Amino acid sequence: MQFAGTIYEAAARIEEATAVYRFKARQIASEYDDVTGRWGDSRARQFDQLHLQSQREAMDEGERLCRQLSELCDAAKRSAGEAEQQLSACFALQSEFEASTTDVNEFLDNSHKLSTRVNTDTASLPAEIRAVDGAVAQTAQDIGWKPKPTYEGPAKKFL
Amino acid sequence: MPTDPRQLLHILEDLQHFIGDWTRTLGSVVGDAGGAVEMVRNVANDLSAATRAQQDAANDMVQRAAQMRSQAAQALQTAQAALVRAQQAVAQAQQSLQRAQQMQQEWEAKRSSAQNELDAASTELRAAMQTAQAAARDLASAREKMHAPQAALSGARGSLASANAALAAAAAAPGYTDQNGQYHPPNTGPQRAAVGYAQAAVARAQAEVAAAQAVIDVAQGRMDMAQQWVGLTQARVESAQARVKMCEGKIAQAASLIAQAQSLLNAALTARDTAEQAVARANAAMSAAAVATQQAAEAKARADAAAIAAAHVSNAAQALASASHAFQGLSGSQGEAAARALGEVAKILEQLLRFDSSTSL
Repeated sequence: MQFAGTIYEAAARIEEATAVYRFKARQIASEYDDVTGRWGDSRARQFDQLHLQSQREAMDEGERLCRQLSELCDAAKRSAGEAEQQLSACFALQSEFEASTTDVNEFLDNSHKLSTRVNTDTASLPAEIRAVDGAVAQTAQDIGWKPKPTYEGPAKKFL
Repeated sequence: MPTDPRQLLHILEDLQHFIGDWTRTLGSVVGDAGGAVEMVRNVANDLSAATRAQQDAANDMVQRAAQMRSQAAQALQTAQAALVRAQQAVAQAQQSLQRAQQMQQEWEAKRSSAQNELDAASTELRAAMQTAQAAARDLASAREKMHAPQAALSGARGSLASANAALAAAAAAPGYTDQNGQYHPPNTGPQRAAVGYAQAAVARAQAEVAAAQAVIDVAQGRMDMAQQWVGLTQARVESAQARVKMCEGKIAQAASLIAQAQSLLNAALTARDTAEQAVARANAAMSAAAVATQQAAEAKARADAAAIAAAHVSNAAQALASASHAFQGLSGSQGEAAARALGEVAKILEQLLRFDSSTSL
């Protein structure tokens, strides 16, 4: 971005041109004064009124335009600088945004992969757990058992 | 006013020189200023285009950020659902494992009970077998003791038979007729006495045999009872052994099921850990998306501010163009006025010169 720099350059050229204008305007005004000062009759006054007075006014108008150009250049410089600063900040934010986007996409990709893995890994678990539960219930079944009766006859007395 | 023509011409030449210089200066200044203003206008156009492009980019960023937020929210929802699923699997696997362990404990208790019964029955079986062995020994001894009475009985019976035979022989012998003509049978008295003696011996031997037989019967009775004890106790042992064997089989099955349940629990726990990681990643994505949203909003604000500033530059450029145009017009009129002034001065000088030459003539 060289917007402000180019406007500064253009402003410098305008300043230089207006400086030349001012210098030359003062010089030609002095020259007109010198010419009219060489004679003091009515023709001189008439010449001054008819020709030089309007030129002096035009020089004043030129001076005003020079000031206006300078002021407008200053305003353009300020605005261009502001715009360039905002654009620079915007570019920096855009760069940070792209980095954030990369982070988001990476996190999303990881989360998606992990969630998919979880869903795949847990898909068969309920059925397998039910199968184990069924086997546990079946294994837990007991038809029952009672010990055979103990011998209570007289043979024990023979010991 | 000087009247010397050379001085007047000199003044006119100087004035011509300055006005010419002034006119050139005006042209140069107008050209330079106009070129510079054109530069500013070009820059303003470029800047406006750049800010518009950046505004478009910022709007795109805002849209993408919203999309990322939506995707992150969806990913979080998916991950949380996966986590719930994994947690349920963990709970179910834990319950299954507990049931299998409880079942194993129950079978271990049953095996313990059966083992106790087996131990007691085995102990009693040993006692019963000892008793049976003792009874067998007694029976054998009693049977041994039967041999002598039986032999005595056999001998007595043999003697009796001999005595009876002797008696029969004696009785078969011809008698004699005495002098009186009275027949007299043979004398069998001694044989009869022998028979009676033999019969008494047989009776004694039979009594001894009967006594021995009674001892045998008692021993046989004890033997039978001992064998009954052994038999019943043997049945107890076999029943307890079968029970212990069955319990051990069940315990082995329970161990296998516990291993399976543990394996399923491990898988569920791993899945739960993975799901927690997925949730963490989704939350991180949410955070990053929130940051991106903030960045996009700020970028949009910056781009809008840049566009406003660029509009100010454009306005300034337009105003500069207007001022430059006005300056150009002013310079043109100044040049023309200077030229007219120069013509007027030349005319005045020409009059002066003509007046001087007429007076000098």
